[in-house]
Amino acid sequence: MSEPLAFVTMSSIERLPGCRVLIDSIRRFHPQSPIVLWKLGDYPDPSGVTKSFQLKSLQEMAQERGRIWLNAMHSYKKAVFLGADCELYSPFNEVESMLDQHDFLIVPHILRPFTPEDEVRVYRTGIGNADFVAFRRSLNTSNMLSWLMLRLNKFCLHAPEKGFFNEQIWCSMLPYLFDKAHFWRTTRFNVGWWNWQLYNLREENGQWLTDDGPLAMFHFSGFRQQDPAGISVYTQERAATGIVSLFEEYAAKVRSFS
Amino acid sequence: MFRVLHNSIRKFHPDVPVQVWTYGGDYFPLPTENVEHHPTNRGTEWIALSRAQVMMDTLSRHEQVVLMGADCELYSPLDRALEAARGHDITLVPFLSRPLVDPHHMGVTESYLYTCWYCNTDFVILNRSQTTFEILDWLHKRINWKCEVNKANGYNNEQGWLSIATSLFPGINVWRNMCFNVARWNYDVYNLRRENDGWVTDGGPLGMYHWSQFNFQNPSQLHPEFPTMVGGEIGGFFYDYSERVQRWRQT
Repeated sequence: MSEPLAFVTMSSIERLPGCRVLIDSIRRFHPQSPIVLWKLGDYPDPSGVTKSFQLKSLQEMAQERGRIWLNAMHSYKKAVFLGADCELYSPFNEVESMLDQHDFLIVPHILRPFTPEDEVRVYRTGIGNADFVAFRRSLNTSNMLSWLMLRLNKFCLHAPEKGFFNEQIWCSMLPYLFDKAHFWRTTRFNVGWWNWQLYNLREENGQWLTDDGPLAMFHFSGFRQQDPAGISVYTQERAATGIVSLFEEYAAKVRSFS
Repeated sequence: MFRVLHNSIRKFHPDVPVQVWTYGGDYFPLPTENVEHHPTNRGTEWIALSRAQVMMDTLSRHEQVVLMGADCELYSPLDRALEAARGHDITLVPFLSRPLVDPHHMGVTESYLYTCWYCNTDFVILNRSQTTFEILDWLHKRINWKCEVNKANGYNNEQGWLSIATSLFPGINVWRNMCFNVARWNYDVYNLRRENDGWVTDGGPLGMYHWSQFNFQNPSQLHPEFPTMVGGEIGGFFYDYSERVQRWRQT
């Protein structure tokens, strides 16, 4: 029997309720998978966590990505990293099959034309989003994550005018610089405030769908529990009638873990 | 510089049609055989502003188009590039296809190259299709909306828009290679060197070198803004190009 896909995430104590929603959703679809949590702050491991490690500072959450992913790669054949503000809506089987062909996967923020302002805004923060990446164990992966670790040690800066956006632009460069690092063009994974409008996100017969099929993961980046329909602190847009329940249900789940 | 490029095209592809778009109004004698000349009086800003239009016009008359800046030069046939472009609407080459050995290379990191927008628009291969025209139409609209160099706010002429397009359109192929669009920003990373009377990189025989911002006053200086001087066989490589251009200037 093949080794199950491992899940890695990180959370501060403030974001723990959202992280618990994530862990709960992973357990629902992948009951056998190891879940590794990197913790910022001293708190007991939430139920469902296989192994945990300690982070020292908020800065490390960005700067230590390379090291954290390397650590996971050494422990597991295939692993996926998710921000604590993500939730699974269907199994990640496609991630596993994609990792049969590629060493590293990152999903571009947007896959279709948008407004010119949004296109530029998204590119400046990195073509790919660093809160959802997947990788498999290989020498090539080890090389690319070591390179990432070296760059983040020195240049994990927030200065978009100089080409720095924390860890994210560095992660976005991996497919340009290394073999078998791949921009995965999927509308099912890492749907968030920046792209849901482009992918025809909708609910049908109790299931969330995008143009490519069942929604696999939504990224509640910038979510405000007190204003779920506001979608995110990063956008002025409010949830359309058809999708507001996605945000309200997430708010209820987060509340239940608070 | 165009004459050097044209000469190199003719060396490897004697019969292909060549179109040259010139700007500035100070026209110089051009080769006439199988060369179509499109002059304009507009200034240098025209290069970026017209990029999408030039590509659309040319593609409307040819099934396949290779767009190269006048400061490029072929060192072997384009066959490998055309093979890589097969089945794609548009093929672009990134500034770098492997990490820099030294992140302070010329005072920049890979991330600086990202702010220049990651795909260089002086080497583009286009295959005629409905989708290609749709992408070029999108590009044309974006260029008309904003075409300026303002890296602090995320704009870098047409190059920025075309780099953005790589994630928006599946028909765009980002071709990672070490032989075409080799230039001052990547030649050392690709280990450009002389072997058996030819120039090679770690990817194989050099296909095309891009003499971007070449310093004719001092060919050994890698870039006008950086003091790095290049010696040895690479210094000779630079010097030879300067000599070739100089010869055409005198004719």
